[in-house]
Amino acid sequence: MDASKTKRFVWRLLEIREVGAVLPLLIGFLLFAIKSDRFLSVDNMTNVLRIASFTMICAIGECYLLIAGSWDISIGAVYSMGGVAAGLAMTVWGLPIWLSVILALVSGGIVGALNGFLVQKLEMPAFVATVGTQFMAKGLVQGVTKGTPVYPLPDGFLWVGQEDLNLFGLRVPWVVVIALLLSVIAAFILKYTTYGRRLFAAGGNGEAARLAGIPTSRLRFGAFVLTGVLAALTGVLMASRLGSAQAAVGNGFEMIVIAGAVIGGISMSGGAGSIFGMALGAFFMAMITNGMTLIKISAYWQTMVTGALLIFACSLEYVRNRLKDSLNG
Amino acid sequence: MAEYILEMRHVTKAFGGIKALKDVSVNVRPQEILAICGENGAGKSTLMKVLSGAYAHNSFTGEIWVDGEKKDFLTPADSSAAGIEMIYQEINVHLELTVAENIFLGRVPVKNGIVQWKTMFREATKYLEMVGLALPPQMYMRDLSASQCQMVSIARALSRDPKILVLDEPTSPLTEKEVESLFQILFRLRDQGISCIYISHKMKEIMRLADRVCVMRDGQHIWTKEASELNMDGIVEAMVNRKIGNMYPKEIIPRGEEVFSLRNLRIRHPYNKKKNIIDGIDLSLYKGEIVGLVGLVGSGRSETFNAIMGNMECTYDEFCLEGQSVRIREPGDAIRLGIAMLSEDRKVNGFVPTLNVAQNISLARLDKISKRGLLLHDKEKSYGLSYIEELNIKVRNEKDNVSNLSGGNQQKVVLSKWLMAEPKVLLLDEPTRGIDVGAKAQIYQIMTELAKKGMAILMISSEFPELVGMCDRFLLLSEGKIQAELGREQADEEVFLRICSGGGFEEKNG
Repeated sequence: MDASKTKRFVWRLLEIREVGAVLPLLIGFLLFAIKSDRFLSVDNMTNVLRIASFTMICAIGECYLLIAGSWDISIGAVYSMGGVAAGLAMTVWGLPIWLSVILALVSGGIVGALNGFLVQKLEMPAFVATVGTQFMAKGLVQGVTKGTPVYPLPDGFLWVGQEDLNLFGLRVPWVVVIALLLSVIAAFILKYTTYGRRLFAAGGNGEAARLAGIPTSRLRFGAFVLTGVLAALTGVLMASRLGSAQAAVGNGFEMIVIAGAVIGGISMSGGAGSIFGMALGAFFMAMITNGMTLIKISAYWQTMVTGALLIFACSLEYVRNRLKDSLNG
Repeated sequence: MAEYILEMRHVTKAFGGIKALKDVSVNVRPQEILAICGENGAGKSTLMKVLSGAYAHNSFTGEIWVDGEKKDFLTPADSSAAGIEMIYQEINVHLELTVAENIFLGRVPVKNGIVQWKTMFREATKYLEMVGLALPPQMYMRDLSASQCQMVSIARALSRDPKILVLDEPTSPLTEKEVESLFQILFRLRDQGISCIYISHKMKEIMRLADRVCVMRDGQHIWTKEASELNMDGIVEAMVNRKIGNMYPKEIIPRGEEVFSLRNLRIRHPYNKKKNIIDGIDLSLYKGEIVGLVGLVGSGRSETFNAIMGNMECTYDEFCLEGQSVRIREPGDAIRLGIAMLSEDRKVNGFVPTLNVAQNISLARLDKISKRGLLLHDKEKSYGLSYIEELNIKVRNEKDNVSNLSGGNQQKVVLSKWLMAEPKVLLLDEPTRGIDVGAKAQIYQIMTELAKKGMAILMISSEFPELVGMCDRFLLLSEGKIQAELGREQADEEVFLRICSGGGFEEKNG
């Protein structure tokens, strides 16, 4: 009786996709908390949350796209481009802040639309098309800035990245507030709207969804545009945080975003995943970098450890499936 | 030699609390063809997966004995090594390789690291002859017909020198003539000492082929009897555990006004751009009638359906629904205008495996379960439950995973989706393919009910008896044109075949 109850409990647990992110998250959390007395401090946790927030904002679009059955690896370059576009608009062209930000978001949307056009209309493989636009966006930013940072940015622009919301004495960075707000909205849309359902259907079986009257191609096109806009927004926020827009700030960022999403249980083959899982994945990615620095793992070795942890976290997904199978038997 | 070449003793296999097999014991004598029948979901496939090693020996209880020796299979390779070869319903070949490479897949003859092509082709020819295929083994699989591919997979099984051959619905891609030659091969193999387990829904084939018949139902072994003591009705009754009255509950309904009319439809051939696969046909449908679009595979029947749905490029002079001229650009337009299509292959484009039963049912009409773009989960649940009850879909609850259901229940989920769309015109492409007798009868019953309510149904089927049983009118399609239109009283399978094969095309290939 007891054994079957335990089995049912384990079974229920394994049904949850996000379980793959929770376990390594807990292990890492405990390990860092024990090994470093600074890890759990309010300052440090705020810092980890802030770093995770940038990943989360950018990952929302990527999650929508992955769920709808495609992907985009130009986001790192668009991230840099968004910050630089806003920075140039403010400093060189002297445009107002709000207009500069909108301009930056539009530039991200344009790259997204180009990606959508290449993948959905010309039917290019998403990998090839978005690697192409990644190089183009990166090259554009390098060409325009010649590699030098864009600064000084106006003070009115810096508060969002640098100041905190005072929540009954608890100081929450505005970036974290924005990331949580956007995530809640995105999660709500995914779960409670017909648009969200259509995304899941398009990624789960595009052909069946199309025959059921769901315009899968337009839907993915829209997700590409959203991905571009959110990547640019992340870049704008990072420029505000750093006080300058830098051409290379987003290099490699796409892999952190995709890794976070996958750790959080977003399926690379489409049709499954949640924003909550992605948020856990993003937090995991931010936490391990921070934690390793605190427990004094040499920066030269951190990248490799990150890779190993990534593989470990993702392998739990397979362990989960195997466990499910064996519980079946 | 042992009395039985194969014994499966007290096999029980469960999936998370649901027992798919309950204490099943089946045995096969030497030189015997044993037919296993049962509805989909009866446990046949699970039993065969136990036998093939697809489920490792530690994942079920019970024993497998081959030729008097107890065997524990961990992988399919172990089962193959013990002399058990499986041939599946879905053709399982590599199209980019030659016939010979397919036959010797994984065991290509090699000498000092160099492939011995000559030996391989010579040996391959031997096995091709065994299955009655006069083909050069150098040919690429891509250039073979579906039935020839199936024969090659049988040749591959034979090349491994099996003791027991397991065939799971092997005849679905075969023409009648090829089925007969397959049977001759199986008889010959039996005489040479190879036993065979034959899984099929088709009673005619079982009666012709089997020495003994084993019936399974709900994961249990019901009985195994000598074929000579049996008749078809007896087997079907044991399979579904109730008397099947008239398989086709056809009711003649006075036909209403014209609801659908399409003039001069033309569709380009998907592989040959210079040719039209459909070359100027007219279609009209009236309320309350079921029309059969009769044609052989490749005649453009499915393409016609896809063109109507806006899922394939086509040209036409005029397209009217209830007298109104319409234009359909994509499937969404067709659904809004009241046309729905049950597609040919439910796994490929029928259901979304990552969505649950209720979510699949509501997929084509999200507007019915939402308000201003917000999903109403309660409403979705109640729609789901009502169709589950109405169509008698076997699930634990409305949140079950569609992929885990049997073929018949999957088909009912897909059909529910289209019923929820409330179409005026329903296109059914092979509505009963790969589903069991009980579910078939239910689908026929539903079709009759829909026609009574005034729906116009256009149906494609490779099973002529089902067309003859269900349709009011027949459009015979061949060479891109409608060659004849027949009424219910003129329906005859032989006439269908003669007209649709368009002057003996099948003869030349057979």
